[in-house]
Amino acid sequence: MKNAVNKTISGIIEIARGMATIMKHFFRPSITLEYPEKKPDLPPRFRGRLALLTNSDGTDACIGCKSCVKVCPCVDLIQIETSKDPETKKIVVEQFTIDIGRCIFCGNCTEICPKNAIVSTDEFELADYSRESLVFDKKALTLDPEKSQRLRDKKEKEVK
Amino acid sequence: MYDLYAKILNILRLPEIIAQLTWAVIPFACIAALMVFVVIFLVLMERKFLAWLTVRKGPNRVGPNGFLQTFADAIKLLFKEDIMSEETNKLLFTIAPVIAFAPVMIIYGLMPFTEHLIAINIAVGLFLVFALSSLTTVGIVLAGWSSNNKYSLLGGMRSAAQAISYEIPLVIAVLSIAVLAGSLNLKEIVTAQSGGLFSWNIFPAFIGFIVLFICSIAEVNRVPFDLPEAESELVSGYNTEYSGMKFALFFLAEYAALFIMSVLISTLFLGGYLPPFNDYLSIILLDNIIKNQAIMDILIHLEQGFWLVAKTYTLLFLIIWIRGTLPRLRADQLMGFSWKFLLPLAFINLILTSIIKLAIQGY
Amino acid sequence: MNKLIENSIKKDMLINVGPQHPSTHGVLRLILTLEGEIIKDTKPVIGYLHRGKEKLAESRTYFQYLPMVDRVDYLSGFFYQAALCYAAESIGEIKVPKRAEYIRLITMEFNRIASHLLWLGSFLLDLGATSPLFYVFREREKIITLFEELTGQRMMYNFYTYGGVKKDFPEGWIAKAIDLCKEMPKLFDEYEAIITKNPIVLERTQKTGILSKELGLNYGITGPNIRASGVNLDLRKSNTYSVYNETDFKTCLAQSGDSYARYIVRVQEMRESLKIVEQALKQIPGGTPEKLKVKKVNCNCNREECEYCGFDSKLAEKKINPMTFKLPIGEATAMIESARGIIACYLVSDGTAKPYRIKWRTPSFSAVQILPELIKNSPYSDLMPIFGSLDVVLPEVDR
Repeated sequence: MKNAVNKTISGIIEIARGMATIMKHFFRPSITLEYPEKKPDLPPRFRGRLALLTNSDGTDACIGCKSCVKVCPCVDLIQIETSKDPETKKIVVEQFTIDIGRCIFCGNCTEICPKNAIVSTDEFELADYSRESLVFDKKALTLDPEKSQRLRDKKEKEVK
Repeated sequence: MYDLYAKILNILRLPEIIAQLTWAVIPFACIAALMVFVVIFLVLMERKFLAWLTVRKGPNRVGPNGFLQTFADAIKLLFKEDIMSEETNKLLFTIAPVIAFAPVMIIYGLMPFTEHLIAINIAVGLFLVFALSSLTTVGIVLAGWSSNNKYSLLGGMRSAAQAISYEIPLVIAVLSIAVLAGSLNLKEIVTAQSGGLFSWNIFPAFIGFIVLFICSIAEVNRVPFDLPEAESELVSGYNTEYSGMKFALFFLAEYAALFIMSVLISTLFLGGYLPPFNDYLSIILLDNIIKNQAIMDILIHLEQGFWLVAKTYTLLFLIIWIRGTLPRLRADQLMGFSWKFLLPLAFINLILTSIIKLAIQGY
Repeated sequence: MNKLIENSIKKDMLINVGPQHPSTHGVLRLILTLEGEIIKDTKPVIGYLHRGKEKLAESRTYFQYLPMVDRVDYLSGFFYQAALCYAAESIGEIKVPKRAEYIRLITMEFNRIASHLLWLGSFLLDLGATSPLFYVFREREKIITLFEELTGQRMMYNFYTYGGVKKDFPEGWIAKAIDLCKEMPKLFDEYEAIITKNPIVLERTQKTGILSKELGLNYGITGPNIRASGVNLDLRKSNTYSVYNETDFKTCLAQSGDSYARYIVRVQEMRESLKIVEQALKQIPGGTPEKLKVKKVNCNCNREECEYCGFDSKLAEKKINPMTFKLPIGEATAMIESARGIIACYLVSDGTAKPYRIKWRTPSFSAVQILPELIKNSPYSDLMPIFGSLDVVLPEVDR
């Protein structure tokens, strides 16, 4: 009997304590990020959609070494077609396709790239209605020189 | 009131028989409107409060501050496809939500919201309220069985077991009120509590208040007694298979019952529409200013409504707060709690209140 | 005739829980035989999340495989990468600098806290309490944000590499982490105020799903689950990998082996992990990255044992070229105490750029196996709390 009374009283006290703790949160600011209106702050190392950079004169930064193809964990995710320019004997990148729908955003390709030509952008809203529209070709991937420079600066700042 | 109504119809040149026939419908139309309004506001209130308790924002997209969210939800439910699987018992499946919903609506008619705002004022009001509120369970059991879904069946069975074990302490706790007031008429029970805060029934029958509060949470299947729709085990319990308007009826019945239970508790224990002071605030403050008796009556009427709403929503807030805190009990623990803990408490309460009643009145 | 009657009044009901049930923590299917509400028999059906992680390794180079192991357990990716890295390092005899080890330790312990926090939330959701879930996510979000700043991703980190880690802390990270360590214990106190002595939680969790020592050891249960049964099995103490021997912490034990004991052990473990992180943040060789950079420029002595420009302040032994990385012929097993128990990575190398065979031993797999034993003859309501208390992550079971 005494045990039951004790148990009841301690139970009531504990429930009251729990309820008081819950009530504390009533007065705390909400942590909701109202997403489509407010975007999250992304850190500089964020790994978003991949993009290709260009040099300041508008030429591709990519030299077609295909290192990224070799370290990419998803088979055939990055597809590069190159050809040799008969005059300058330089390698020209003709096709550069990334299937973002299959990309796992591991960052292996951006780390290996000797010219830092392939980078991760801040873009993360990649939902689309079809798989085909998620296959990005070279034109869609390449950024203009101005944006490329901005991204490069950002990455450099981060490294320092 | 009826004379006025008949007169209006007479002016419109309608025969008196129409007035006689429609007069009985009007209160129920009002009650239905009140009920829907109350539920819509209650759902919004619950969602908002729960959101604030869990550091979220709650619905804030539809209308100003999300005020119209439940309207939008209700409209969505109205237009949803009514899915019924092949193996269900079609008749019972359709009838079940109605059985769950109708008794709650009748209880609304029995409640004295203010001195005059009471649709059916009968001598055994209290008795009828509990008779009807247990009928809801029949609807839930039917829903669980006719869905032909194992989760629903378990939910319905649990609901039946829960209702049986919780009705008994509930009724015994309420019996003490009948003893104190000497009547089963809800209005008389309220009038017996007049005379300020300290003549409310909560003081002689505090244990009864606790028991009734816990039992009514169990009666309307709320956390921590929400076993019939325990999400983590039974998906959605008895209403797993329901969709569209039928689901909306269950939903409506559940929240309407929650509201009416709070009204009932405040009527029985917290003085109903009576103010916590010796006299009405409007009399104390405005008696010397307003001499017109008709205006005074209207003011008092409004004040009565205000007190009842204030008491009810305090209780509702408490229930929502509990929902935010407590986990769910297990079925066998729930039964044990009812039979081993609440029932003795209810009896103790009955004895205590009887002694108090004897001591005060001396017979 | 008798048989006909027997069949028609069959007492037990077959109920199929999952694979799409609101609280099976992923896609587990349980075929239960109920008698009334009492569970008589359980058959877990696994494999809905099978991705062939072990077979995939055989067609990928070591660096290609590295980001994939994060996905074995989405709640504690660091542990799996660590296990793979330790296995590869012991075959290739690659030395790991102290600073890298400290970074690994800090991230792993933070990961443990994040994983336990999410467990706490979902466990209480199984019990029927909704609010703690949101609080737990709020705290976890802080840790995840730290990870995002460090690695660039919130859950799939791909941060460790063979021989160290890929990047140093960003500026200000250590200060933020220390702040978080100071803030966290108060929040844990709040959880405990809501949960630990709540009579309903006690009723629901105590004396349910009792896992005895022998049963647990026979089934290969590890981690907090076995520690809650009173078995002192903590690889961080007994098999010191990384730099756990340089930090001071105690193994959390409970004796009763029921769901409540598992809860107590995990909450205590979170506090202990915080202590480890706090110590590690102070002891890390080279200190903050900003300081280290300045000192490195000023020091410039290039001695091996120097505090600032020696081996121990590096992030990796030497820059490894992912395209030419090969391990010598050999085999190794690395065992790690993850948030859920012991992970073992068995790696066989045939000297090529690709692993010959990788075998994962995952703690959740054992935990799912023991479920039928734990829930036998208990009410159906207890199924989810007991299952939740085991902290099973389904992708880890199926791999």
